Amino acid sequence: MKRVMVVEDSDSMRAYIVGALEGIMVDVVEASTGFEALKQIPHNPVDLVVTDINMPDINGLELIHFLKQHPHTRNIPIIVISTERSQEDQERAMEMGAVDYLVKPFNIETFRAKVNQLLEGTENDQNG
Amino acid sequence: MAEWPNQGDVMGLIGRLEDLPVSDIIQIVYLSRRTGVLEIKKRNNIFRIYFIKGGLVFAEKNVHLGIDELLLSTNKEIDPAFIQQAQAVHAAMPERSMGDILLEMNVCSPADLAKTIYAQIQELAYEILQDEEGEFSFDLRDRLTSTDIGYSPDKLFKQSGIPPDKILTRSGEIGIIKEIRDTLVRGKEAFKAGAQVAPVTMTEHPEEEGPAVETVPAPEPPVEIEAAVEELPPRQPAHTILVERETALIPTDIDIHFRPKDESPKLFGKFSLLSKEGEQVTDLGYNLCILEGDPLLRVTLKRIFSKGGFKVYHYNQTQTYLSKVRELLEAGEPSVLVLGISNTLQAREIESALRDIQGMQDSQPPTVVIHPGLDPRQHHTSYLSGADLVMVRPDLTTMSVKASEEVLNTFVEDVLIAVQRYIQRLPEFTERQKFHDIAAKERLNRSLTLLKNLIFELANPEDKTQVGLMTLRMAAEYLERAVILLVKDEHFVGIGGFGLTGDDVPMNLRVRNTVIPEKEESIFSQVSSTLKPHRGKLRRTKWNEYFLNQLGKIFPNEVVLIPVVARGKLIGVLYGDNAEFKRPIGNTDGLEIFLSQAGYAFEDVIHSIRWKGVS
Repeated sequence: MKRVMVVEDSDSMRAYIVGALEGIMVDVVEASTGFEALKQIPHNPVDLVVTDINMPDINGLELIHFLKQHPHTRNIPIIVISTERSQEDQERAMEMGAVDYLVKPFNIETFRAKVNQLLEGTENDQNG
Repeated sequence: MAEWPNQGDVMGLIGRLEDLPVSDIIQIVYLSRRTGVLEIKKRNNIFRIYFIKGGLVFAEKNVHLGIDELLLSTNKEIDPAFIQQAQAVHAAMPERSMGDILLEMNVCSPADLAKTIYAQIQELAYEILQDEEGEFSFDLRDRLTSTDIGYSPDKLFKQSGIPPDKILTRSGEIGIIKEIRDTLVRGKEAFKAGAQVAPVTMTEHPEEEGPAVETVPAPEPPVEIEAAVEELPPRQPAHTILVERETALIPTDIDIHFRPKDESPKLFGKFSLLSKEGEQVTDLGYNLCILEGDPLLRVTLKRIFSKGGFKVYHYNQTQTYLSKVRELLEAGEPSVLVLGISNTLQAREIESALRDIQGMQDSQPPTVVIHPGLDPRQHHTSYLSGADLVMVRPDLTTMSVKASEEVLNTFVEDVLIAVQRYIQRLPEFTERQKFHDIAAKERLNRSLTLLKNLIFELANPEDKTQVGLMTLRMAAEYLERAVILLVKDEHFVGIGGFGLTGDDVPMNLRVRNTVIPEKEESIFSQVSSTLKPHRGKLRRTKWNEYFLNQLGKIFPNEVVLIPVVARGKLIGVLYGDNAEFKRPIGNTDGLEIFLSQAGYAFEDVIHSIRWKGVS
């Protein structure tokens, strides 16, 4: 089963995202900070990361930077979920390596569709 | 002086609005920084106003309306589907308030939520202030949580809530405008009915009736709510319900019924602003011991000195005060004393107390005495008794509510400035400050910046051969001794380390000759099976003893072992201790985070190591 990591410091938002993922057949790993995500990934390799931007210690953009720098994690697709609506923020996240950017609050069905699409992509990569 | 009753921890009070108008109750609660719920029964309606530390945080009429329902009913731009999603999260996490969930999910902005709450309080305040007949009860609480009121006020408002003068003033304005509007509507209806009515202008005579071309809408609440409230100059409306009254600050001649929680109403006494006896407020730096009979001054001293970093104890009885001062001085805790004198009789008692304090433990804590008058002879006596500073109590009796609050705040801030300057010159303060600076510097050294930089370095492919050194460099921030062992062919093999060994053989050399079988019982096999850090003592096993002996002749009280993992597989273990000075091992979160990233790099390093002594 594919594994998705949700990185979000807000308990309620994390619960919401995890709840949304319950409709898909995936294992969900939760992290409340960027550092916690970095700590967990070596123990629980993941197929997709869904991360908030504004978090304590390291923020979502720094997390993307860390993951994209490292050869073992640079191919993990990352979806950013943020309150920031500006085009600049979205472009910055995409430039750093995010594959998608959703603005809170978002439609659950849209989110699930994107996750499914990206997980299928990782499957194809592995098969290919 | 009337007082809040002392019986029980949680008290309430009840009374009639004819005796104490709502605007006065709200101001009193605000000035005394009380937390609780004011319930008002009038015209078959029940209103509730929620206060946190004197600030208004919520209001409701008859039924409890959730923040989500309120938001949905007042803000048409919000998608009900998102509200439903927030409700589902709230159902799963009832311990979180709906307001917090709505904000975290970005269903609405803090400004939108603040505007909605402000408007709700405003609307009901206007209704409550319409007439002054009815009953009230104030349920004093230790605290109101975000789940009690539906949101976290500190996320929306600069203070604990909305200062009542903003609401009361605004309600006054709304009241006037509504009166004008009603008048105009009546005029319009009369005009339609064909009545002959003389035209009037909408100025200072709202009671006059006249025809209207169009109605005047009620003003919208400020958009930036608290920011706007704080930054705008105070309004000076022509008509307000709360006017600055040239009366005494606290009503002393009104009987109010106090009711302990869960007891039937009962007469206890009169009403004032007294805080709980001996209440401890904060836990910072110096202690401040206040002996003051005037509750308003005492509360203001407590509030402002708490913000100034003092741990405040406040009393109105000399003996209990002296007992606390003695306890603090005997414990060697740095303390500042403030003693208030309100009359000649009390002056003798205070001077006697001062002399007692001077005799305690040869201690001479900085002491401020507040006198009721300007008589230099009385001041002189206080100085002779041991006071370091004498100040004159401000006379608030002829001032308006607002002016008296300002004067009181200014006076207490002056006391704070004088005390701060005094203690900054004390030798022990300088020493404490030095210690504080060193500790802060140490914390800074372990800051996230270092961690981030090292993780960045670690991820750089060119630096992979340096991963062992970088790990030890990071470990040196947390531990007096540390060694790294990597897993190779079912053995833990030492690759490097640092720290005192107790002899001439350096740690680096010692650890490179250390090999422990992975399957044999040891602390390493335990970490290997759990993949979790271990902190504590070492069990006495053959391989644990072997390992400690390998490190030298110094033995630790406490050890920490952190696994290095990559892709779910154990790559190695970092061992550390503070054997040299036997200090307890502090928080190693940063080190653990670093090691979590080091796993991949170590994985590559393993293949390039020339193994020595593996058997």
